[in-house]
Amino acid sequence: MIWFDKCNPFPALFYFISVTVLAALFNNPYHTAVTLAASIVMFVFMRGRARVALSFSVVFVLTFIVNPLVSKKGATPLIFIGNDPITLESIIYGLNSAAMILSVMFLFFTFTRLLDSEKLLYLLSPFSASAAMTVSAVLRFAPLYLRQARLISAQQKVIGAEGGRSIPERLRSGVRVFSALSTWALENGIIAADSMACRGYGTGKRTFFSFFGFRPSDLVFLLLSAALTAGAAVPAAFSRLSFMYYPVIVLPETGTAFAVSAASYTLLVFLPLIFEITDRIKWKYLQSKI
Amino acid sequence: MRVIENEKTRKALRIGVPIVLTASAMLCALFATDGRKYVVITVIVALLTLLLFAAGFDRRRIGSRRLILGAVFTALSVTGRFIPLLKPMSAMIIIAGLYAGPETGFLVGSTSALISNFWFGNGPWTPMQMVALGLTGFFAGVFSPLLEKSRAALIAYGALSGIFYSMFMDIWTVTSSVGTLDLHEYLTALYYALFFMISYAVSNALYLFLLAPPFGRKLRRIKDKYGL
Repeated sequence: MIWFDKCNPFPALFYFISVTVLAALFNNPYHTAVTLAASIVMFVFMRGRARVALSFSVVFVLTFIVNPLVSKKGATPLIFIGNDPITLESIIYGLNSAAMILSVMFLFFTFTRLLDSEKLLYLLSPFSASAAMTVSAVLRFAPLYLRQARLISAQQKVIGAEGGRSIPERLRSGVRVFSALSTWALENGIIAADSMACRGYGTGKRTFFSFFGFRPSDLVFLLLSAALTAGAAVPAAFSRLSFMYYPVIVLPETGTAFAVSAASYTLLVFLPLIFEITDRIKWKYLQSKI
Repeated sequence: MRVIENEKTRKALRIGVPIVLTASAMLCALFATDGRKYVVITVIVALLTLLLFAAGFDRRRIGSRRLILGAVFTALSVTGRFIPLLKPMSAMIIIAGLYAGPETGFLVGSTSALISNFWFGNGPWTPMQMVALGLTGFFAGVFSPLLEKSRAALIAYGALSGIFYSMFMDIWTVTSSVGTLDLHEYLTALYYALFFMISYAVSNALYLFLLAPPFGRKLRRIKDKYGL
């Protein structure tokens, strides 16, 4: 997803929020299927590992199971567990919402992959400069501390302080490593803070530096996704487009309103892919001309 | 620059606003007339709480030392989440709230939820986790006079906050899977999640028992050495 990676973070954030909110609001099998398809294609484009997809499917199964077990709504009982009915409607509802969560997980995978620390800082700084500073410091400290923890643990082993294999012993040595790590981390942090203060952090007026411009195509993307969000949401306000699950399944009204809403939503979900593929085709064409 | 000068009003606002917002999130989810939009309401109100906090946090000028100390606590609790089985994450957040005050507690809790999820999986549940862990740190700061005095109270607070975290996140479990939230469904979900609730409570209590006194000593040492 080269185009999407280069995109200004604000349009990207807007896109992810509006797709997630719309998918949750509509909550009907058509929208879920479209979102799932697009999010899986993006997952493949981002070179997501099969192991990650497998861990997502575990969450999918768990979310799916919770609904029929917990919810007693629905008119068609299939089996009884004790006195509690497992209804057809709750199974279908559970399947749909689990698929919705699954597609949102795929979408967030793409988003998290795209959102490196630089972009996170850029997104946060308008809201709170201190929170943005904290986040960027933590993003540097966390991997550093993990490495330091491994070092401390190796040194403990060398001096023979690493205990046996039983659970209390392992817990004790884990706590010892963590305690040594935190002493080191606190001192290291104070030194870093003093060094920041020496270089004038927080003295003058705050200025921002960022790598991200606002390209014309970012603006087009933002406007298109806003228009398509409106196109998907506005018809839904005027007619009943949502899917009724309880007590019996009722399909939404089909007609112009549904067609407009569904078409806009489909376009919206596939929008970054359309931009990406257009960009790739353009690149190929330009290359072949040279 | 301070917007509200009166110290008492500021304190009341600081404590009151998150409580009011969280309560309104619950009420919206419970009493919204239209049956199925709880997921969106819960996530939006959670996000609102976080944004409001971030905006309020910036009104005060905090020194680089306090800022970095918050970051160090956050990074330590993120690191703690990598320990399998019994995780000292919430215990670290409680310790941060205890020694650095409610605001830092909230910041450490919410930021560590956000950042550790970069490794453990971000999703629409992230704002909920951020609010839950943020409140864990916040109330540790609010009750710090009591908790610092009595070790038993601290351990009890740890266990209770583990139970609170589990119950808070089960609201998400039910709304995301079932779509609505009524008492019976919620209780059933709590029953199925009992194992997690117990493991949170136990690991919080255990780590607070083990870590809180040494951390107090470490912080005192830092105070002596660098004159904080």
